[in-house]
Amino acid sequence: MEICRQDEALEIRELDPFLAELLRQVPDSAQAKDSQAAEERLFSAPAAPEEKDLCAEWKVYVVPELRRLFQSATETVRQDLEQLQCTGKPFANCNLRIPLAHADAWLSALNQARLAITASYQFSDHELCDHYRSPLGSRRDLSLFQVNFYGFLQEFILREIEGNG
Amino acid sequence: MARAPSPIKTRAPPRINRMAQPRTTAKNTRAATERLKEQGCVLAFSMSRLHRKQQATFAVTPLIDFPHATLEMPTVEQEEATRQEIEMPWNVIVHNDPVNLMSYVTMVFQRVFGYPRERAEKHMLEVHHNGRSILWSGVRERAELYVQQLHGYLLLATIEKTV
Repeated sequence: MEICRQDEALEIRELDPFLAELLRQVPDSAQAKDSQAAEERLFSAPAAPEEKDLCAEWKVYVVPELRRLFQSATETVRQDLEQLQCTGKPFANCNLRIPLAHADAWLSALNQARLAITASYQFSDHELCDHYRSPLGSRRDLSLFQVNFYGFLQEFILREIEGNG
Repeated sequence: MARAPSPIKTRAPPRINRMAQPRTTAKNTRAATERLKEQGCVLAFSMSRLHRKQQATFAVTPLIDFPHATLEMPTVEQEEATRQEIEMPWNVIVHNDPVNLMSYVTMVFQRVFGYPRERAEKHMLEVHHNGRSILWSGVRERAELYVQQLHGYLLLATIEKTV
């Protein structure tokens, strides 16, 4: 896999099928789904529980706005990911082009996915720092790899945004 | 020998809870009544949201009746917060979480608060090492807005009253 800046886009070249599949899972992983822990992390409280009025109003007025914002970002990412519908050989490497204008949406979706997965699996700080654990083994190990891979992509996008800014 | 002047006894002015006062003064009401009397209108007050926490609802109580007009005097029905409570500074606090990248958090602080990179990094490191950092202090509504923006970037942020 190779990532580089190409004009007004980031290009991920020679993306192997395994990593391509992980990328395809970004929009779905970004949803809290049935995980209460993920829901609570993505839509965290704005104040201490004693501020009951504020917390209640937040749920009514702010959370739906945030939900729309996050949804919009994942939709943009979902559209970009349609490029990964490889029509050639089934296990061929793919290329992905992310327009710089979509960088914020990607940062948001990758972050949503990382936070939701981490909350669902309740990874410890120690596990999150373990960048050398093999993704093969259990669903938990694969999810940890997913969190780290998405983090790596986030870091690259951030570097490019800052270089651009 | 001159005597020391006796201390002037002063009384503290009565404390007025201004938030409980409707903006319509008696003088204005009388003037309005006169005008309406001339026009033969019926007047009813209704006051919309002043502020989320200082909502004043006006119940109607018939006060004056004359052939062509009725003036209904406002009465304050409820008062939830004092001025002191509203004006008290609130802190915007960002809490540590092990997932958000340091570079990402720095970028968010720069974007949301317009801080230069050095200041944003200082706060980011404070969050990282101390578990939290006060990013901003000020009026509640703006603090809420900042927290909303920070939540939009998925940071763990809260507001709390200054002690």
